[in-house]
Amino acid sequence: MTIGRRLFVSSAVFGIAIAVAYWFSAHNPDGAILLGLMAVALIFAAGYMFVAERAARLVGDRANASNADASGERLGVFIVASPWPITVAFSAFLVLLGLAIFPVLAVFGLALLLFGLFRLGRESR
Amino acid sequence: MRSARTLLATSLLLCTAGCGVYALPAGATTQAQVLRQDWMVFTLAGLFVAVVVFGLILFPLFVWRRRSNDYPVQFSQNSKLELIYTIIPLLMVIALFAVTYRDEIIVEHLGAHPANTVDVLAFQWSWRFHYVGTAINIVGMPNAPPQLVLPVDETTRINLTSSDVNHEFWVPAFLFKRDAIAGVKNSFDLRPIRVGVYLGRCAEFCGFDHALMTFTVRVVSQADYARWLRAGGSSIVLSSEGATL
Amino acid sequence: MSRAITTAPSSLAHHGIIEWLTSTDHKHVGILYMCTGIFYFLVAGLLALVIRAQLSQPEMTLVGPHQYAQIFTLHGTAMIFLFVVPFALGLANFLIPLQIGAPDMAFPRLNAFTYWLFFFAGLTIFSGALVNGGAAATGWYAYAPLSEISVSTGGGQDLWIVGLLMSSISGILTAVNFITTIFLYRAPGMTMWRLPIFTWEMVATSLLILMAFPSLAAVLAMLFIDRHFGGKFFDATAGGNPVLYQHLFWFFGHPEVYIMILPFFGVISEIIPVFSRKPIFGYTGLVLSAFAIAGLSMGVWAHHMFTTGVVTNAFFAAVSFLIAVPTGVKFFNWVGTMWRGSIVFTTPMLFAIGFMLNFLIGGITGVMVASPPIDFQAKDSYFLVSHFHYVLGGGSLFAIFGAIYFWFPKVFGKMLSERLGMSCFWLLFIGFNTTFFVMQFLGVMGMPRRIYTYPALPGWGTLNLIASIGSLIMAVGVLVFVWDVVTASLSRKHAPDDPWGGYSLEWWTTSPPPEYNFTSLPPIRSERPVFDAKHPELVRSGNS
Repeated sequence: MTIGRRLFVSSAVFGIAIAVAYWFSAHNPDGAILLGLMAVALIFAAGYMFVAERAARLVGDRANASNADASGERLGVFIVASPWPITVAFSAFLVLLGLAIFPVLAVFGLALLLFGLFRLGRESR
Repeated sequence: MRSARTLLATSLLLCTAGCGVYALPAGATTQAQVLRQDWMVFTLAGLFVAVVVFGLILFPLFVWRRRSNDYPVQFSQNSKLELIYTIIPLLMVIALFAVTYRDEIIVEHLGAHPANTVDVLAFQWSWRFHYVGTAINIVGMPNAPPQLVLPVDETTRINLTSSDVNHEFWVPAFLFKRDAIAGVKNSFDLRPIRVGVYLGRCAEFCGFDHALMTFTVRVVSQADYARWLRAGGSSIVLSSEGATL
Repeated sequence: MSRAITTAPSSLAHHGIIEWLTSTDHKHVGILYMCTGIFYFLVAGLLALVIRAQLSQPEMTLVGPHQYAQIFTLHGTAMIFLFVVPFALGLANFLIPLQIGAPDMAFPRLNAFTYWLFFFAGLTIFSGALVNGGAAATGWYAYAPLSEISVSTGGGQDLWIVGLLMSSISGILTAVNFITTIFLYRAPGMTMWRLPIFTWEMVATSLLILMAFPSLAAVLAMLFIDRHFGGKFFDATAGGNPVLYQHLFWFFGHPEVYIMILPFFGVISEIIPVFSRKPIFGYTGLVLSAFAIAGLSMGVWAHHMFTTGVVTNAFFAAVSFLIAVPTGVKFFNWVGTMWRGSIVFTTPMLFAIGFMLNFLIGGITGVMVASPPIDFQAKDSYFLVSHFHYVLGGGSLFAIFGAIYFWFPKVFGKMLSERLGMSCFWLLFIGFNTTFFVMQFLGVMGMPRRIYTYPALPGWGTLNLIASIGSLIMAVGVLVFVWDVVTASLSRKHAPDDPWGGYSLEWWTTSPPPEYNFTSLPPIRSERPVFDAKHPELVRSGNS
């Protein structure tokens, strides 16, 4: 098992263990549910690690790998600039601000949010 | 024999210093005596750890300052040492936990038959003290703090709750505080050991006049207390005053 | 470097403000995070000075109760959510790809998005000061029912909730990005057990963020529903439960404390070896202790609730005490690193030593307040204020200054002045201890936190005055720092690529690093590849 998987699996096991220990020592449902949900989230993360790491060819995990071993590996597309992250963040800000103090802002913000997400998705394809 | 006496004297001195360090109030209830012990143990343990670790941090700074451009031996582990410095702190905290566990049980113990019971209601921004079984109701205001009258050497049960936001009942001289939360009834026993007037206040931020949400606790002799109860809570009948602490 | 990186040409301007607004380069995002954090540090520091002025004497009337509550709420919120955490995330953003030999973060656009979400979160929280009723005035943990609409009617509370909600979402996404980057984008030979300690601490921090922040988002959403959509989650008269708020908040709130300190354990573990000219002592133990702290910290939340009377104090006291063990291990690692080293007192090293001394006091008082019988006196008193400032101010803040003096040449290609840096350190160190040490006495004597005025009880005036004088000394120290940064930025002198004799990969590339970070990489065969490459004669010279 790679360290990434081991980390999440052991965290999830720890989450379950502490939830059980807490339930039997404190009999408090609030905390036991919180700890239980935490464990569930970690199980999902562990599952994701299994899938993601199988797909990747991790040259970083080979102790004797040299730079030449990595040749031909495609790390992916790295861009240096995009206007859409700030647009999406700003529109999310408008939506929440609208909910808090001025509902009209929320409608405008939602429209901008959808547009921004659409452009972001198209750009990163 | 002499060494034992020296040891005893030194440890007594250290204990006094340990509490003196924090200017901790003397502790005006039997519960506070126990709490004070806990402070003593932890302060001494803390001082000990502080001296040792400060020493360990400062020692290399004086001894191994850079004097030449040579590189020192590049060692980076020592399994035995690592095991030792994991186990020693572990043993220390286990011992501290034992002390904590013992003392907390004593402090939070609720007697079966408290001599008196007072229902305390916290609200924005003062207190209401209702003496159960009597018609005595003492209600304060932010600028007119109410007075809680308690008999000395007798156990009084406090039932604490809030009618609005969270508050916290704190008498520093009792070394004790407890939350007042709407929908929660918190009970604890107080057994004052010294006649006197003690300051109390709300410790949980509860809105703008939180700073003015104070009260006083007046501990009186049992005779005075009985007289006070008979007089329906009129403070004119109280003779023993004692110092404000 | 022979890994293929596809770069997307950008039509956007390459200079000026547009570049900063649209950049997805992890170095730009990191710098933005750190600068925004420092800005909020200065703002929150000014608020702290107002607090100390108001408390310098009994019965002061500089500010009223209404302003005072807003000031301490904004001070706490800004220091925690807008300074210490974002600074740590910014530093990690800058350093992680460099330390693992990657060209950028795994999700560059997501990275930029999280920064901007945090940026607007800060604006939202502070914009509360402009609305009717003023900013939030319920403290940084905003206990319900005090924060419910029936008591806190103003819009400032809503803006606070919304702002924190945005920052919590931003934090979660950043953690996902860090974990993905560290697990999948390491350079050839950079195995997990060769990661620099800072990067390891960020793995633990990210894991903690993933476990703790959802609880914050949930409690904020519930509070918002209570306030605006007729919810009764925390309303005891309608069957709700005010204690539930505390459970949910501290389930986030205590891990948050470690989210604010683990990255800085990493910083200290990077600085000390370099200036002791030795490898870190007990690498494996140091890494494992980070995860022990992260795990245990998920089981201690109710030690903030010892006085509620409805939690099992013994469970939480026991787990809280246990955290002292891995924290102690870290101290011994640092001591072991300095042991028989060759120590030189540069500014970053001074801040690292200051960190250890201050944090030790924070740790010892932390074990004290983890004991319920002591907490019954110390909770909500100035003893506690002293304790957590020793952890966050004496700890995190000193490490932040250490990090700035250590990595400033790498980030901006300019050296900060050693002379000014040392004055800054001594002013901060003396000022800090003057301010916060006396607060322990105030606390046990009975002074509660969050009061805007206090009566002239014996000793209170004097001790408070001492604390206020200390805060002024700190303020001078911060001014020296600001002056240092300004003069260094204007100077034409360039910093060398590796001014300190650093160990990890960021010291291999230029200062500042180019786009995509590296043009070449040394072979990576240990946790300090740059040292190995520059001192081949010392490699394997003995693991004793």
